[in-house]
Amino acid sequence: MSVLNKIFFFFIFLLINYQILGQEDNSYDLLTERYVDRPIAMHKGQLQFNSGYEFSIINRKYDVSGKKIDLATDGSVSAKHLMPFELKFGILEYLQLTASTGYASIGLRNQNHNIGSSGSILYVSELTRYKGFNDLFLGTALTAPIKWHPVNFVISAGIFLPLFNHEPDKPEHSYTILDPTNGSASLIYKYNNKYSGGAMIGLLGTSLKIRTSRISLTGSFIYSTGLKDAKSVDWKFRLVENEFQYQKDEYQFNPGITINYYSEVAVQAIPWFTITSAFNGYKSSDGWSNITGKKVGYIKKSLNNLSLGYEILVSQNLRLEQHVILPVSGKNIMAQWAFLTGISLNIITFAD
Amino acid sequence: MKKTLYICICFLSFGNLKLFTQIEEMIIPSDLKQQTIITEPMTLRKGFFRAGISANFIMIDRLFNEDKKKDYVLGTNSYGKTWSYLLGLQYGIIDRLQVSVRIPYANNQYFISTRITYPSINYDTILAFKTIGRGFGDIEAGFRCQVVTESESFPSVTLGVYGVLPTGPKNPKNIKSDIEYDLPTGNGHASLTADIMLKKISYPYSLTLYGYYYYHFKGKKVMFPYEDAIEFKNGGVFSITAGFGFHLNDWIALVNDIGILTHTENTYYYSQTVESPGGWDLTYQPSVYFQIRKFRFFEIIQIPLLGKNGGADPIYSLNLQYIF
Repeated sequence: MSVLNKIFFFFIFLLINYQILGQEDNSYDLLTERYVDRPIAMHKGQLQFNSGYEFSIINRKYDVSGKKIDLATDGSVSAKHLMPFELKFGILEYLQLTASTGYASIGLRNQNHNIGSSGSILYVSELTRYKGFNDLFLGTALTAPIKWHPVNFVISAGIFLPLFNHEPDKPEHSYTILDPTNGSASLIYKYNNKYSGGAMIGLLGTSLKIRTSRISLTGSFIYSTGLKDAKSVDWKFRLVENEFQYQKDEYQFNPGITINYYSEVAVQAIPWFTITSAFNGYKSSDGWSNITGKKVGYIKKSLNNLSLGYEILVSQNLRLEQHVILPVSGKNIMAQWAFLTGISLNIITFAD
Repeated sequence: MKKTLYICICFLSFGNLKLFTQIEEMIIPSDLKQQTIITEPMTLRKGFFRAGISANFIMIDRLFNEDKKKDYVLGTNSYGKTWSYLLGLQYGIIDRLQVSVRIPYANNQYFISTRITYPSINYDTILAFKTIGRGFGDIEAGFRCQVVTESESFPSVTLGVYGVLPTGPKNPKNIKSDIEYDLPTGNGHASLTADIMLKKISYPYSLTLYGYYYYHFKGKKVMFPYEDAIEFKNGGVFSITAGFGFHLNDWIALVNDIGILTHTENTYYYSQTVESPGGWDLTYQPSVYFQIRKFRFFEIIQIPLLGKNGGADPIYSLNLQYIF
């Protein structure tokens, strides 16, 4: 049974059973808790399934000095489609388990390049695809047993497991003679990469939520690092008599260190409607690969985003959220504006 | 004994009368104006007026090719994004007949960027153009008639007829080069649509079945800069969509539509007739509706699943309506 089928059947299982399982004690109060009152982690017995759809347009990049480059002018705007999946479960009031992944499809274009020579033109275009499931994240969150409601403090740890195939498929480059008389031709480079990173990554983080009657402030900080060197393959190619020949070479890499930070202000407009605004970003460094035959360090990258959104408490079991995410600054990275629609199914499987 | 019998009959009669009066509908017009996409009839009631605006977005990135394979648009060195806005007005003449007008405004942008190199003469430059088309499109007007009202065993059936007039500009303007000009926002031809819609409500659910045929009349316009105007005729479009909607709570509804659309080839009457191939697509269209009193806000995503010779990018639609 494929992973998708398993997720589907689990989802159906939740839909069938939530009414049977979830009607005890203070379940209703816990499930209809206002956004600003909710703890960062799950309540004891709370099972939460989050999913949705995020559409992004990769329309800018930041160079080494942080200067913004418009990809529309550069001729390389791309789209990204992402479906995140996340499952959270509160084993105890202060202990939560998390599993998450996501399925994505991205097609990155490079600027077309026309190379002229004595009456003929070579039209060169390039597409790099990323498609498939992301690495599986398994994590745990420990809530500090602070009884004072305004403060909620969580320490989290987890690991990204390269469960899905991360090695790129064979490229599908093509060379087509357009005009035999003058030799004009079209050269298309098409790379078929996977979305999965392929490295085992350890993660340690902390989150703090300050809660008032109408507003909550949340901040989190996550440190992650590659736990061991990972392997992947690189497809070397050459053009022989208008046909591409490929050779698969193995190489090692390490994703290095990434620091993620997130801060959010949430305003409880009415009990079932919350407006949120967030600032988040990340910095990565110390990664390397020997794809070229020598161990070469990855260039440092950073990106900061601002987002604005809302959450609606549709029913005791269902929450709906939408966010617009805009990049504001970065270095050595492509950036995207994104529109995320998410749903959250919640049940209380057992209560005190 | 007779007296007792009369008293019993009278008592039972009053009782029944009371029972009968319990099913009398006590719905006031303001409540009817707050009906949701699930519970409302397919045509506006007499005297009701609905105004709405919608914004639609599409980024042209992928397409279904002749082999029915979803692929990226490559080698064209361009990408496009389209925002279109629509003002929709509907009025119920009688409970079963509604007239409507739709006025579109388009904001289309196409970006072309290419690096051009001639190594032999040390020439290396980047050519970047942005082609824009902004303006009103072709206005649509028509009516919808409820020929069968819904009963316990039968769905409501409505028929609609709509005409599109070529009111928007149809030719390219401000031509600076063959890739740099103002795009037209009109199609340059008239069209006629006939549709049929069936709807069955079983609160909190509703089922719909919708079919239409789009007929395009022959038109004449300049297809590309520096060309003469030519006659053309777009192929017909036939579509069937089935939908299942349900309430998530009293004021939020989720509707899931799945539909198939076929279109026949377009014909362009140059000195030699040119035809663009016909095709089809299968789309899934989830939409979420928020009914806040007389306001209705809804979002639609149209996701192409399968197809041939057509676009494969999702279309996003944000809509706001108010009923007077």
